[in-house]
Amino acid sequence: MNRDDEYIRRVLSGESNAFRYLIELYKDMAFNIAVSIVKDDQFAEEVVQDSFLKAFNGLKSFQNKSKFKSWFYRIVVNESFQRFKKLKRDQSMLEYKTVNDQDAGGEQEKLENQTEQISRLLRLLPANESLALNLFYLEENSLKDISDITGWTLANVKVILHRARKNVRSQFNKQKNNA
Amino acid sequence: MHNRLEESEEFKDELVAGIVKKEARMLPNPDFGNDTMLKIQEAAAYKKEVSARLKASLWCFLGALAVGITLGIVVIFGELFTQLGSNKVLTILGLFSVTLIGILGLDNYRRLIKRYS
Repeated sequence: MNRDDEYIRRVLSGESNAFRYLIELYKDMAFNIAVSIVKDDQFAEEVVQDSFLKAFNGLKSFQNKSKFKSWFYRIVVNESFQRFKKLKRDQSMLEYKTVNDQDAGGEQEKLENQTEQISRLLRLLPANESLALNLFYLEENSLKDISDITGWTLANVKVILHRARKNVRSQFNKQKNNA
Repeated sequence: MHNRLEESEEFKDELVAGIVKKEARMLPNPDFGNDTMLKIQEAAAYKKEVSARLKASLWCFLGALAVGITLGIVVIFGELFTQLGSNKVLTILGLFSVTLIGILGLDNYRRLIKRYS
């Protein structure tokens, strides 16, 4: 029995405060996942909070067939995409802007260093590409785990990761040539 | 296992990994844990209260249903005792509909209690 399972058992036996351990452990990565999809800190925080609430309420239905981490990240991904769709419907401010729009920026942007501009690119990537990058390179999940978390097929995960990597690299090379 | 490792190796990229790791974020709200626990406890208390009220309501419903069925049977069978066989179809239909309403009501209660317990 790993540490997560131990705390889950304690929560299920009525010690709801034990859930705090899971919150502290997963809140930052959950935030990274949410922000990669909704692209807004405040909305991402709300998504993470809603996801923890959902996880707490659904803990009884969680079966130890998968890891708690994968199960919880799946909740975060679903919540984030739901919020993203709602935001997209409500307002057009979260529409995906192309990297070229950013290139057309003023003198201020030219002064930014290479790494900062690349970081901006990550925020401007489409939700699924940004999510795949976070899950693979930051959280170091396997392709199978990413497939379990996102519900995408393994082939789809590969295509999205490949496209995301290509986007980041091409932008990096572009910046390098400009410098 | 070996295939999985090979697949992951295919996407190994120090440059992209470095950029993604550098961009990693932390939750900006330092009270996030407390806020979330508070919300969870409020939700749990709400569920508990709803569940208790539902159970009380269920007992009232069962009592009313039992009284209704008893009265229905007394009325219908009272007539039947005097005029045996004349209202058989009506009796069956009446009892059938009362049972159906009861089952539907109980099923809804079962779902609600399951949701809030």
